Amino acid sequence: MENDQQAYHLKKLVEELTTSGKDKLDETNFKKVKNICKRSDIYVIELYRLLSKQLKRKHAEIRFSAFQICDEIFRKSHCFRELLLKDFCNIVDLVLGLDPQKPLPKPEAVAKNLKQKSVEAIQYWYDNFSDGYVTLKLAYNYLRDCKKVDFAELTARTEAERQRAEEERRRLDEIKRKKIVKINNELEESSSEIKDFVVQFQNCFKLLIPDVNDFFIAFNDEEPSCQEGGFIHGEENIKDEGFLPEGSEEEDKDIEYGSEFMRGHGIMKGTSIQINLEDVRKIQETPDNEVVIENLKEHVQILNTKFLPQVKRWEQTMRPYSEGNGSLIKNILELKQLVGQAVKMFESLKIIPKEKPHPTVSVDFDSDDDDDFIEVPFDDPRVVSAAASEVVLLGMDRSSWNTFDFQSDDLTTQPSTSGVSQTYGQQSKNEAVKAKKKSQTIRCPDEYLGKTNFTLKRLHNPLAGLSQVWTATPDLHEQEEIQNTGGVLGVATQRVNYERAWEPIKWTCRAPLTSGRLCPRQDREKCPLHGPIVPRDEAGKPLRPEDAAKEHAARERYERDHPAWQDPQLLAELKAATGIDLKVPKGKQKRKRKYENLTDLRKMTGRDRLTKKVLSKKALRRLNASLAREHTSAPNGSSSFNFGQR
Amino acid sequence: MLREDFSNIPELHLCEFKSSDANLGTVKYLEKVRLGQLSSRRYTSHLKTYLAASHVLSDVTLNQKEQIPTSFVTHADLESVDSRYLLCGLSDGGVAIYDTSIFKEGRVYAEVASVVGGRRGSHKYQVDCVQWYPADTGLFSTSSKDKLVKIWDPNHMKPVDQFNIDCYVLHHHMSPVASKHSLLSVAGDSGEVILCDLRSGSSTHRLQGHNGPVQITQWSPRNQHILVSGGNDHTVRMWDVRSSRAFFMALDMENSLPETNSRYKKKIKKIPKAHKSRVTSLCFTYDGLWLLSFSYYGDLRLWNSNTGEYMNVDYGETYTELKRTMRMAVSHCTYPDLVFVPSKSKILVYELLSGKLVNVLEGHFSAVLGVVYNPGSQNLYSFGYDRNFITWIPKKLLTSDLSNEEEEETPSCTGHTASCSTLPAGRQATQDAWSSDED
Repeated sequence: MENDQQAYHLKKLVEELTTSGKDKLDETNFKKVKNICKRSDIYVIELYRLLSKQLKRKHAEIRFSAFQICDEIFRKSHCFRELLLKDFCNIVDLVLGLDPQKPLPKPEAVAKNLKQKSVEAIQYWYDNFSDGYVTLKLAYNYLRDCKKVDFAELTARTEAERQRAEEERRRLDEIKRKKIVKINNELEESSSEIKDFVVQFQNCFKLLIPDVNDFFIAFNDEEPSCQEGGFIHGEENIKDEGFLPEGSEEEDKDIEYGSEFMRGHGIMKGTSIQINLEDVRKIQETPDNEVVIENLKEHVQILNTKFLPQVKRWEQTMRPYSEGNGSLIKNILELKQLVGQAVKMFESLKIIPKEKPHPTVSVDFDSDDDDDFIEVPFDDPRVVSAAASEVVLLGMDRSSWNTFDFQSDDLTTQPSTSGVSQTYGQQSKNEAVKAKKKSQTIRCPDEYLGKTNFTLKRLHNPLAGLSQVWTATPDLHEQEEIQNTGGVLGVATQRVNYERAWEPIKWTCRAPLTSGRLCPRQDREKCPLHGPIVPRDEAGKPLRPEDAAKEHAARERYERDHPAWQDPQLLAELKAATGIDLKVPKGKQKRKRKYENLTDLRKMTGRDRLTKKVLSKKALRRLNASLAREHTSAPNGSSSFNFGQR
Repeated sequence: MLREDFSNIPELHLCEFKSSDANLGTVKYLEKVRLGQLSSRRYTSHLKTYLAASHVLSDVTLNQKEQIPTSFVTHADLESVDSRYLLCGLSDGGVAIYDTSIFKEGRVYAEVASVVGGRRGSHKYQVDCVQWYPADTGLFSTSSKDKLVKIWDPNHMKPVDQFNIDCYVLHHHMSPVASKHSLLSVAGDSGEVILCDLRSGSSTHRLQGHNGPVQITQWSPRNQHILVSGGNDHTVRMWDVRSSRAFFMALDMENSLPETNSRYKKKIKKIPKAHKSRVTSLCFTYDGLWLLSFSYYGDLRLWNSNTGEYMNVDYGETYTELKRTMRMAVSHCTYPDLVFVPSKSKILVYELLSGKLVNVLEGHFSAVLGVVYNPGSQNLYSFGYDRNFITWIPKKLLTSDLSNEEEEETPSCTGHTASCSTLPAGRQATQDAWSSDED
């Protein structure tokens, strides 16, 4: 009675221990197991039976845990040793996986651990117990001499595995070498280009904001534009402006306290002047510096979209092979810094766009007339009533009317800060006109059929004429028509002109991509990757604030759902390295697994799913059929060709 | 008793044989001898049988623990004069002689002489067969795949003569009872049994008849002119080397009474088959009355060596994965006789005439190549592809076990640990090591 209870308890404990999926055994549970086994050899035998059952399971984590228990008990119990050594060959097969027919089960990282652990354990057993157990000695010799288990290095690898590993290493080396050579070539090719470009940019930038060192050279230069470009100085700056030029002349002389210079300016000891340099980088766009700013923007665009991603890509590819390629990496980093600095320099610049008169932007054709009217608040009762009557008159939906009006209102009041928005306004206007035109030319056939005023044209039954004497009647014309319609009797037919002028799409999606470029997809209304196509500026940001807000919200949502540490690539790498799956389960689990601590072996990877589809029986049959067709058709062609020759 | 507990486990059940049965049996027999009901001679053979049926693993080996051997034993033979020197053919072509009566450091056989493979005189490939000269230890012969049969002088450990055979040599044998001839039979790959005369140093004649390679040849221990050969063509043929005829008898598994070739030579079109597969082993009993044959399909058959009658003894299921020739062993001067058959990684011990399985020796990890029985010490030597050489010792010859036996006479279950304390220090490793702090 008590025996059964203990045995049951033991069984539960073993199951719990082996299906924990952890590297280490649970201390408390394992202690309980040891306590039970200590009482009698009966329990040791029972434990052995349980463990050998668990060791046969096709899951590396179960085997790993079970073998850990085996190892511990082996060190303790004589009875267990005898039992295990009787079946040693099988156990070794299960934990070392030396038989190529029966490899260790997945997951691989744990299987590797298991192998390592078992080799270590066997070595330990041999060192400590081989004097008492001849079988152990023989088994050790056998593993060492025949199975080539390297106990000195504590590795168990078959000859084939070793060879494969060597080959893999060589292959990787080759790939690495090729990559490095490729990057070297690319670097050689484009480093001068990048440097030139950055120099161009810097020169351009200097035109806009001269460097402090050659700040005053600009005065002497024949390029006054930058000075006239008009910095918006802070108050302090204005105060200091008169002082600085003189200071520069006497710069080296004496700015010490009490000097002539200081006294002349009435500067007392301990005077500190705070200079707010933030505004130095503000630039007012004027017609004079417009060209320079335009040029600068272009440069930055190219730097951002072309060179920066390129350099980043180099860095990314070179990162794993950092050792031994110091100079190359240094070059790359230098370039990256150079480009990054330039971009940062531009970003720190605040360009205040030109003040322009409000362009009269209007979507509706009659919005021009709006100016003539006095603006009346919407909640004016007179307006409401007028609108209601208008709705009745025009048969228009009130809400649509409202939104329409609001929209136009929005567009006009929207701050059109740059020229782009203006062009957008025009564009949208054009679009609206076009759409109107389109809607006139293209009509759905249903529209025709649904029309009440459409009268069905009854056609003569041609068979009715057969019973009559056929004569050339004035309605011969009608007869022809009947033939044209294919002789379908008594059916209302009408030709519907369904042609539609195809217009090539001239716009692209232009949503910003991770590479720094803009999405080059040309879709009519909706990009499959980035949603509806909205007007965007050069950087790819939506022009309309509501679009921007929508995009921002979408990005936030995405980030909330997919935090950075849940990046699938990163997770996959981590899993391969450590065998731990950090993935947060999404939603509800379909079916609760029996042992949720263990790694799921049946999880499908994308590759599996693709394999299932691509190599499915059906697909293969189709492939074979088409291949066969090709095969059979080819000789036919050749034979006809031969005939032709003759 | 601790060992009894293991029988709960079904997998282990098979290997548990009642050695205690034998103990009680011997005591009973001793009583009978005292009363005069049993001849003392019969008693010894009984005793020997019991001993031979109770072999257990021992830790006596050929090599030191620290040494990693470069080669392993592929064939062995024990000289029949003192049953002392064990001749081993090695996988690298070398030969070694061990003295089985002297242990170095208690565990390792003393090596008398050896020739390492690759040295002058050694075989090019692994040694397939070795045999002592039956009359004394002044000569031995080895053969290998390099088409050579070498005759060695063990005192100088040098080959004194060699026969160049024109085909691969699978096995060779010298008659243990020959007094009128000194012929060495060589089982050739070409399907011939080649007889080499040690006196003249050349091959005298060839026995043709086998279709396909001859796997094994054995001289009869009863008649010095009778030779048995087994081949890949599933036949076992008996030859009289004096006659100019072909084989005089082929063992037939179908008919219990095989027709002799002399009378029905013209009529017989098909040579009777002894097995359904290639014959991999042949073995005469010590007295030469019975012949055992073993085939690749794992069937062991007993034949009357005089009449060629198939004895229809059912030995149960045996398995083998070896296609090459292997060596069986038969116990000497025992009643009933026992046969040791390598079956995969195990060695099965059968009673010869009843076919009863009396012991299973488990210790090797891959196929066992051969077994040698030592009639003097009752030890059993086995060697296999797992590179291990194992000495099996009859259980009760261990002094420590004798003391155990005495204790068992009185029905007290002292258990293992009690006797362990009196044992030498080497046995300490077998003790339980539960630490007390695990409460």
